[in-house]
Amino acid sequence: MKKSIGDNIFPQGMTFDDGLKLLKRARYQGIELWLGDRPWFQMATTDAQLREMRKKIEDTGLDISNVSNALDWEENVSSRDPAKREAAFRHIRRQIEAAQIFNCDAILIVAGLVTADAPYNEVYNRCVDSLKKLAPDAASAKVKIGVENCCSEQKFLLSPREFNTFLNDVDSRWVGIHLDVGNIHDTGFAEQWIEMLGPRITRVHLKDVLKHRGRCGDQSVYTNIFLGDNNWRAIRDAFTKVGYDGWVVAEMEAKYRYAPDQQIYDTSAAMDRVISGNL
Amino acid sequence: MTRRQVLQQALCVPLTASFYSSSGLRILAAPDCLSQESAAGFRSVLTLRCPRNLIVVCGAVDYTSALRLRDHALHGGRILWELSPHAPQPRLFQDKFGVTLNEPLAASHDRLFIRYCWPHATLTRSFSPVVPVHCPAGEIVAHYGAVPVAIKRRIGRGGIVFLGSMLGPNLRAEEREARALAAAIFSGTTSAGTSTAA
Repeated sequence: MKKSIGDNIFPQGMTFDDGLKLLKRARYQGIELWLGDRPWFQMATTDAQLREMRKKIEDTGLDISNVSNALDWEENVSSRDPAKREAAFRHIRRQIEAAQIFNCDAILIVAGLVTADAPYNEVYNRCVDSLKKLAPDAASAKVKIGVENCCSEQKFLLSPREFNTFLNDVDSRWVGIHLDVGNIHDTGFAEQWIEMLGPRITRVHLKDVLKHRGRCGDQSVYTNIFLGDNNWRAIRDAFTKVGYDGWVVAEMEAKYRYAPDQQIYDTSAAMDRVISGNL
Repeated sequence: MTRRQVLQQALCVPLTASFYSSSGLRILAAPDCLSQESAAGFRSVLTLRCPRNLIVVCGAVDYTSALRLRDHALHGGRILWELSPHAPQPRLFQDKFGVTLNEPLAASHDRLFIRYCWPHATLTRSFSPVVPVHCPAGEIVAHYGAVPVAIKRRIGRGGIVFLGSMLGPNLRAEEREARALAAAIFSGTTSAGTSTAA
């Protein structure tokens, strides 16, 4: 396994260049780039600028693990608004283009937002249709689309069996799951998601979850690795069981009130323990 | 006769109640719901190629049937025997097969998997409680943590594989690794290309 972390964890005000150096010092092997989050990677960023970013990343000794986006929460493929749906197609296709420029074979998207106004079945069908349309783009670029399980936030695809059925309905080997082991909350067990969806996992997000908090309070349910309720030994064994040996990407909420870079070091050390199985 | 012995007798299956599949695989399942569920799991993989001399046993059998199974092995037959955690028969297994069964263990919540080293290295879901097995004349093929929970041994011209953690329910649940394991056992080959004959 190789470890990576998102550029959205860089402490506020830190430049892209300094952030890369920080990740290298903290012994990460890769970086996850978030389209639409930090100023250096927006929809307006040109191909030439992306190539310059790649050069900086490679010069630092890092790889790009995957290209994610922070835009799906506003512009989703399941939206009733055709303009928003078109915008979602544009930024996902831009992710695929960027991944090619970055010599990376996976992107992350959030497909489907169920709300009081957008009912489940409507969202489901629209997501399947949208991903069927995007799959040929992914195939021709040889970039896999990883649909993230943001179960509670999306109120969508809440079980591994359901997610498996969804991927069956999309029916493309270029569309899989970007599995977040911290996103399952109290509706299941991350290790069972790994077991059921193993060959379809494109990338993995690591974080821990405080299940007893639920989603109804104003406190985050997410926390640093080993501080929550995930069964890390079972999760690690499940990865071995299904033969997953790819990128694991930390997705942390910035929690440290002081020395925010320390969270990046601490996360790296925790990931080493997960990867080694020394738990 | 103790209450435990009465219950064990009730859970035992006579050999005549065996199930014959169209593919030739023969499954004996004790009448309890768990053994029947396990047998259904094995039936779900019967499309796999399997040798005609293989018998799968799910759960406990009566004394006479145990002797007939032993004869089957002595004459070159193969047996995959899934031990019942709820009706262990330690004396029968010790006397007739030279296998010691220890007290069943409840699986721990952070150690969920059985680690097989044969017919290929893989992990499958444990099925709690698991039955630790010991057999000086056999070969350990799976561990739960550091505890041996499956062995294979030759008996006469044939052999028996004893599983201390039920595999059938995993097959019924379509567990990928369990199905691959069953396929390898049934097809008689290991990842190294050698025979899986016990």
